[in-house]
Amino acid sequence: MHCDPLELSVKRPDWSAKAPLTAMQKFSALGLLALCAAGLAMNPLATGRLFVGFMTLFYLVSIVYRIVLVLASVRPEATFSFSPAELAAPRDWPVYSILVPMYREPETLRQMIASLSHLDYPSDKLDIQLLLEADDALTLDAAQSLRLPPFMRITLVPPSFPRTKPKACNIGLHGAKGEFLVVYDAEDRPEPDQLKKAVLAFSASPECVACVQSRLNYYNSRHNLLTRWFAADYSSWFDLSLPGLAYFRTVIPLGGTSNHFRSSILRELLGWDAYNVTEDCDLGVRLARAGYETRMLDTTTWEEACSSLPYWIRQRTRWQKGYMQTFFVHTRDFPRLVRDLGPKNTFHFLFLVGGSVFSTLANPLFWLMTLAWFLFRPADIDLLYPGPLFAASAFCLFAGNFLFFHVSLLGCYRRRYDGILWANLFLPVYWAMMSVSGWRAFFQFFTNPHQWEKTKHGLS
Amino acid sequence: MPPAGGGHRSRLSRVPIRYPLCVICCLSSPIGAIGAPVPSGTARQALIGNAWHAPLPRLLQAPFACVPRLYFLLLALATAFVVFHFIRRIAGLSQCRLVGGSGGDGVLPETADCGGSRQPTADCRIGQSPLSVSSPSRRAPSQIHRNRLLSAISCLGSAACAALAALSAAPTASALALCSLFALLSWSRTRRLADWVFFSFALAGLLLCGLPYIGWAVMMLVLLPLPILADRRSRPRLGGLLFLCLAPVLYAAACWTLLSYLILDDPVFAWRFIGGLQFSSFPPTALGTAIAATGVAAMAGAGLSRFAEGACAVRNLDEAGLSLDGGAALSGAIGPCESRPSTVGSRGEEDLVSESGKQDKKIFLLPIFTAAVATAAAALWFGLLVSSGLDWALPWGTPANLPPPDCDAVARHVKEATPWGRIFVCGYAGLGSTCTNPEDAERFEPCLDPHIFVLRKAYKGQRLYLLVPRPDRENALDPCEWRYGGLYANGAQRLLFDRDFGPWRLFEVVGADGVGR
Repeated sequence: MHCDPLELSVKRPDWSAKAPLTAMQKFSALGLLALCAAGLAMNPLATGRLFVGFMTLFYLVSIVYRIVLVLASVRPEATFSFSPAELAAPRDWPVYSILVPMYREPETLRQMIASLSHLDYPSDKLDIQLLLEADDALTLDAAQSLRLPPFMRITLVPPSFPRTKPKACNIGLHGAKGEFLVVYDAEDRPEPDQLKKAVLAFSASPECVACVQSRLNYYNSRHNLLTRWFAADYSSWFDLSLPGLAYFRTVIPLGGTSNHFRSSILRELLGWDAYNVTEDCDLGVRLARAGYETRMLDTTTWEEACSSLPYWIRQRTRWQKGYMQTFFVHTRDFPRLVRDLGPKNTFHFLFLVGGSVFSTLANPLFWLMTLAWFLFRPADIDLLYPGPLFAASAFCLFAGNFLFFHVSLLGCYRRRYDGILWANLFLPVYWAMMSVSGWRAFFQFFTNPHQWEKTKHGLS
Repeated sequence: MPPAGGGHRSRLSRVPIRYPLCVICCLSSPIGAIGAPVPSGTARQALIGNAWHAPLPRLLQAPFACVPRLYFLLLALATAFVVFHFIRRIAGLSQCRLVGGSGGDGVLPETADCGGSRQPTADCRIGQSPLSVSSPSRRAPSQIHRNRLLSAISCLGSAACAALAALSAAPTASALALCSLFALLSWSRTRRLADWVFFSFALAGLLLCGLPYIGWAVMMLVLLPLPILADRRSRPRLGGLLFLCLAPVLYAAACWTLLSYLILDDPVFAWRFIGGLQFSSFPPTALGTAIAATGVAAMAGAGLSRFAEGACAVRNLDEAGLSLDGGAALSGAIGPCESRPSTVGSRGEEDLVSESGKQDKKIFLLPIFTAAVATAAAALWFGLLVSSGLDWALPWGTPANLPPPDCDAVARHVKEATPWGRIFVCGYAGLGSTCTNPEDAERFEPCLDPHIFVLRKAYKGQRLYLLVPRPDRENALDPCEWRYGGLYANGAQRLLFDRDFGPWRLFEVVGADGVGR
């Protein structure tokens, strides 16, 4: 049977990021810009106050939202967890497909094979595909020179545009034999019982649960300050945010790897969008729109945190650009989005996907204003903050920022990362770097929307 | 097989917590301030406060004070309802009910009743009554009625205690103190991270509640390693736990410092009380101090032992009486060292103890010890401050009870000189000043942080006056005193003594040519 890795963009172009913006979206964006410009020209003070008021409201809601997510995340119902006895109970384990897309990373092959060979799952029920680009001779040669276990095979991805991970995954999905399927990155080290836990989770949940997401974290968290920040970030995101979303049975922007699917549902949804550079996030939204649910699994896949700042910026740029793509793809027909997700889940989507990018873009402006106010006390800034607005903004500044800092602390503590707690003291620098990558993503979204800036691994 | 969507529900996760009620307690005082004027002075100075006029209670009051008095009832009801149900929902307190029945029939009427009152007694009543929690599903109707009665009596007792305490921050601060103790006890039993977080945030809140709670919070922090080190599981994580606990406290202190700098141009404004300590004037013999310390420690220990006993008796800490007793004991101990009728309205202890025995008591020994020592130390300190017989220890130490200025007399006097004079009333003592004549009221402007040159520039062409309080006790901490180096006694450049009005002294701001323009 012919496999078209771009099937989604052909059959459902409205769900694909092939065209980043529709004509209507461009028109709306220009209209909004014109409105802002007119407001600034006619009544700059009122326009400024309106903007500040809107942003303050946004930050206030973000604070409350984060608190609610954290409180929900720590509830036991938020994640699937299983005892060793349950995992050890004899049962007929189904065939499990594992996709490992790789591109120019021969150095990670040995470690990847070792990690996957240690999985506690019957080897005759494992179907592992190494998805290698046909023109990536380096990785291909390295893989062929190794003695691959019998449950592991190489699937070649023909070179074509776009050269993205989701395109390779679509080819892998086509050849997958398993009832369930999971995607791992080459440097991933999943906990050995992860597959069994996923099977048990699927068995214990209704058919509408199409995906279970494992927690992700880093094995090289102590490498340098950047990896410490990154580990703190992941600890708060995967341990204190996503489980809360799962608890509310809402949209979950899936993490890049270790998301386990029912293969049939994945095929029904036409796989991943090859044009979206955060295909996982997009898939999470599409699952929710199609009426499926995603849950969290109490198991961890250990990854390698990017330890080089330039590569980190590129990785973040890609993620933020992907969030922008996802946001604009799914808001093309907003009434339909609301119909598909319902008002509550639409709010979650807008806040998680749109809000997170929006805040990284808007934050620098407010940081600069705050800094200017601290240092120079310009009267113009005072004018933007009449009494109640000043109080609310001050609350956001002092309480909100501390809340995010403290959530990060809690994430580290729960992960037993006591040794990196101090790194959180410098989190504002990390947030500033996120804003840098956010703005980079913003410009790239218009200039090179499908460019996949590959993260360099093996640096630690 | 676990249920869909969830794994095993651990035993610890079923332990109900009553922090939402503590939050309601903290908010009860602000709710009581609905429609009441919040003395904020010029700009936002009073919101920052100093050790005696702490920022947190005032900051919590400010939004409520903006609400027109007409709507207080509606807002009080809505706030209590929303806060209680929202927090109960997100915290999963499905078992948690207010006294006597389901969802709020205990707290709502009292909240509404309290909404129009500014009296500390009423604040305390609403502040403490929601703590009377029971689990109705496990109680007979007669017990519920008894609980209601006991709760009502307890409320009266607590109100009386709060009146004795007579501290503006009392309801909020005692709720926070109670929350911190409660959280520490709960953490000692369950080792839940949530308890630790609540504990640290309560300490941070206490820090912002001013004296004497700062002392209590600091002592708790100093002694905190004890209960951690005593536990085999927590010992390896001492650093992490201390970091988690210190972060909010230090952040609160840093924010207070930053705001002092931004608004008062003096980063250490809030902490100047430390510099004012004059330990050198302690008596040569420490005998009196030792006797006082022993007495206070015994009293605090007695109060806390009741708390501990109740806490041990009810494994889930979801009973009413023990909280009231604990709160009363705590407030009584770290308040102005007055004996308090802490037993009024308490639940029968034998009833509590019979529920689960005393086998858990040892778990609480170290936290209780920590809290008792901290309480004793803070109480001793505060006792020294407030005791009039010990003024030699800290001359500025106690709230001064300075009467507000006679604004009418001052206005009459100023009007004799000029029809357009503007009078800046310095210090916190001036915030409560009122003028009976509305026309004259406009002349008066509270001013916590007078900059004479700034005032002259801002009010060019007007005759300006400064009304300065006598620097008794905490008034000596007012910026006008330390900024101008004894303004009351010596005056300052550009200030001309005009006249005394009781303990208040009027100065006229004069220009280079000797006139006030």
